[in-house]
Amino acid sequence: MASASVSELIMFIAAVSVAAAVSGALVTTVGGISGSLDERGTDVAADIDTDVEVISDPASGAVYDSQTEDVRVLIKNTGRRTIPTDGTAVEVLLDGRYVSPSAYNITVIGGGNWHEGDVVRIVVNESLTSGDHRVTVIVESERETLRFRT
Amino acid sequence: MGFSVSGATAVLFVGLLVGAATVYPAVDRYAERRSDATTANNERILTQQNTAIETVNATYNASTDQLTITVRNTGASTLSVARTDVLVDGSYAQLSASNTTVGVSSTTDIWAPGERLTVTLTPPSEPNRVKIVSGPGVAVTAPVEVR
Repeated sequence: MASASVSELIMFIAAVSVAAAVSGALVTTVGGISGSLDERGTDVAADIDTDVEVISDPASGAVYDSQTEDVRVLIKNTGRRTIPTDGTAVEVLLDGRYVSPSAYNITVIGGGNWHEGDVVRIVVNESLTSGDHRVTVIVESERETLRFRT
Repeated sequence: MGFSVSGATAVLFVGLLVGAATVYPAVDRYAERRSDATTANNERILTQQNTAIETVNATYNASTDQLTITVRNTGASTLSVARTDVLVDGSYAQLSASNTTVGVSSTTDIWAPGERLTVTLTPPSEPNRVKIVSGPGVAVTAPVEVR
């Protein structure tokens, strides 16, 4: 009789221990998923809030300066978010080729940060042959392409 | 055996409850942030679709070296003068309260539908073309008439 009670007690402790371990793992995993979901929500919202527009006038001939051999593109922030200009958020492709952040510089016209409605000038130090070219600016998932002639 | 099953079920049930209580606020916040951003984006698109501008004239007076651009807001949305950009021959021209006038007011930032925005600039050389970009990104290009 006593041995039956002891074995039942052992079974009870074992079952509760296994259930506690499973619950612990479940709570930890769900906590991790919640954290990721929270960060993902912030990223998705920032992505939707980001909007830019190339405002350069390709017919004016001011996009490529053949004397200084650089491409100048004007981009307007038409979204509702301040975009960092330190090279972490903006990527530039020239004729489909990736331009490393050291080969171009971004200047906010009027100074300060690239707030909503502000315009930045991206100067890419690359020489181009005469003909048709295109420059693509990628900010988050926003992609804007300007086609121009040199 | 009966107690073991009940005890284990109770512990698992508590774990499930704690998990659900952790995940629900995260899902809720995700949905709210996404829906807020989408609503704001839809409003921006609507403003953009309601925006239209038209160049009335762009004239350069060679004797005074002054370029005068008049643009009319032909859309249905109210635009901001501070967020309007002007490119003269592809180069950015800085606008300020001293060189912009809406109707007769030079201090206002509101460029309402039907109103005319007049920009007066002194370009370094005789310009050929100008581009006016409104706040939502809607732009017009016009050739410059030299007088």
